[in-house]
Amino acid sequence: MSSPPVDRKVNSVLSSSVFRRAVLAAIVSLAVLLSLAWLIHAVARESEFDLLRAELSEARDDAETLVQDEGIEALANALAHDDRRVWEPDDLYFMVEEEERVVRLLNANDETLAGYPDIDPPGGIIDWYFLEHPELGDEPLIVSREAIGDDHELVIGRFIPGRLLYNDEVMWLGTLFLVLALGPIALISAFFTSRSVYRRLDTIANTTSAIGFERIDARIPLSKSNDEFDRLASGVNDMLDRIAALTRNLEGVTVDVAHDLKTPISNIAGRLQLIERDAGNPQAVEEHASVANEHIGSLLRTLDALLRLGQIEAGARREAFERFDLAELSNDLAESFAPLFEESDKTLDVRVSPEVTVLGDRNLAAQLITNLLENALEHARDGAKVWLELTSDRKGARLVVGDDGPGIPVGRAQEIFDRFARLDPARTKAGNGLGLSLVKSIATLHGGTAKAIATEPGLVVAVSFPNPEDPKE
Amino acid sequence: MKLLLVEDNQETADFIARGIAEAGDTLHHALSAEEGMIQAGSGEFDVIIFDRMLPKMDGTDAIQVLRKAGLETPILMLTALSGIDHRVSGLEAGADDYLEKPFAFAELYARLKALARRRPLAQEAPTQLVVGDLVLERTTQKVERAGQKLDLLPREYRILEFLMQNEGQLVTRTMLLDRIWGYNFDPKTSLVQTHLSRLRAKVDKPFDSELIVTVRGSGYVLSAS
Repeated sequence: MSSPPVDRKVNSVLSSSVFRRAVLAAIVSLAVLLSLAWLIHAVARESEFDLLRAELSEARDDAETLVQDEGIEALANALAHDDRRVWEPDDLYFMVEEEERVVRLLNANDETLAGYPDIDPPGGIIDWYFLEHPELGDEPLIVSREAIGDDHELVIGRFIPGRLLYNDEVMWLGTLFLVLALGPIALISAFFTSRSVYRRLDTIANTTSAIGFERIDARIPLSKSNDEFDRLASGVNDMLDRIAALTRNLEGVTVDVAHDLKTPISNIAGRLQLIERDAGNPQAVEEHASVANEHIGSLLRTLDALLRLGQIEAGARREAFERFDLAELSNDLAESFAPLFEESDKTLDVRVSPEVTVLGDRNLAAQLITNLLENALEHARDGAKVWLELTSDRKGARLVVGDDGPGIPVGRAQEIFDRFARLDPARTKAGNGLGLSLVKSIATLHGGTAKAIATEPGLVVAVSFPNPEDPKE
Repeated sequence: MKLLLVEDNQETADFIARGIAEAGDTLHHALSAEEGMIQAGSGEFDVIIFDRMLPKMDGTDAIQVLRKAGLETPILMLTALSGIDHRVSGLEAGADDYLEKPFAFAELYARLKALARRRPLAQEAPTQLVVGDLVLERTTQKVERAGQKLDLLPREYRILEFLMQNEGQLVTRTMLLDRIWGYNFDPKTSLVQTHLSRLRAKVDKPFDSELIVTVRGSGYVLSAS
């Protein structure tokens, strides 16, 4: 595989969903930031304007009191500036600088009695009123125009403080800056973050597709940061290790199956040849046929056990589970096998708690107990003590079959559950090596476990069944 | 016995037909489920042997139809399928017995005989079984031989009862496993043999003649002769 050109890589990053999401996230956070800033600004400005309005209304109330107490002329005099009741435009310079009020008192004929004659807003309070001035230009004010006295009107204007105007300017400039400058910065940072994510994912994708082709032993390299990508990568690596182990196991099992089937088939073939040779001797023919039939029987049992294993491991029958008394089943089977233990000079000690209900398949549980007892029957030494114990607690049922010798090496205890496992290297003992594999897969099917403990001397196999009342099941 | 075989595989059919003919029984052969159903409905058979996997129609479906139509003839189902589910579904469909291929003819024939004998279901089961000087009282579960009481364990009693019901007929090991233990399991060890030898030690050993005879490689026969 040749490595793709760099610009294609950049394009891939730009078209990757990680990048699109990063950009979207940047845009969204920018929008949120701006809306928040504008919201705070609006609230702050509104409260400033509230203060200004209150100031206007207070000034008006003072004027009203003056009119009530001393008459309209007194108010007109009070509004005089530099002894002039009607102001000149020049008077306003001072007003703007000192943030003073601009006023105008009108009589019923709209003639200016006092104040600045060119301020002429409509009635009520207006936040933004632009006062035309020949030299200052348009200055924003907040104005009120209300009736005063019997038939006069009073206009009060207040220059909007420079800091408020300045705040507005800052907000607009800030917004412009964020959109023009931070927008591209967000895009660039989105590109870089998504590129690092993209690279990590690209490595994982390349490795998995390499495995898809031929290299089952390829693994995803880990970075040192132990981040979520490393967790993903090590999860995938663990999965691959497990699959590889299963594949190796399967290859091993296939060889074992072939071997285990080939042996009885060769024996049958041999007997068939003998039948041909001894065709004239009915007694010999009968003998050969009978031996051949025994081999066929063992062949069929092996096939049967393999089929059962396959079906159980595929999870068959779980929907047909029902509650049954494992104690009753254990006692019944122990009683059935007791004569066999006696005859092979072993003792079977049975300790079964009464009424142990489990949820499962009764036939499969019978097979499980049978296989455990037969394993002890086959492999425990002459004179061995074998015990079957069934207990239960809140967690579930625990079935134990143990013997006191000769057992198996400590390190190899779990191997007894492997298919075709025969720890006896000469394979002299009877059995197809599938009995305990079935025990384990039946236990697993029931949501339980099967564990082997080498007690030196002796072997104990413990099978657990979950509590049927457990909500997990 | 008059038997009906519904089987599409010619070699299996020939194998069965030859054995049945040698035993002196009559066999009708149908090649398809449809033909088998017509014959089963019209002829009076003692037992029907139904293959499970037939072209067009599955054996279990055919049996279900026959049972719904009120047919009471015992049915033995034959199958090449082996597995933990198939036996249960075959019996649920209405088959009385279930045998996996490949099988020994002796096994098939012993099961056919047992089914044919079980036939008069409507009749009341006799309260007493007698074979020679062996007497089994079903109401009290007491067993006597030559007037002498035999002390049997419950399982031994059930084995003996089953052998006596099939007096003079071969009872195979797998039949005993199916009937007495009832689990669909497969012990590798000589479970049945050991129990039978214990039973024989009680029923036959103290007496002059043997009632239970081992048939090598297949099973047991209980008879007075």
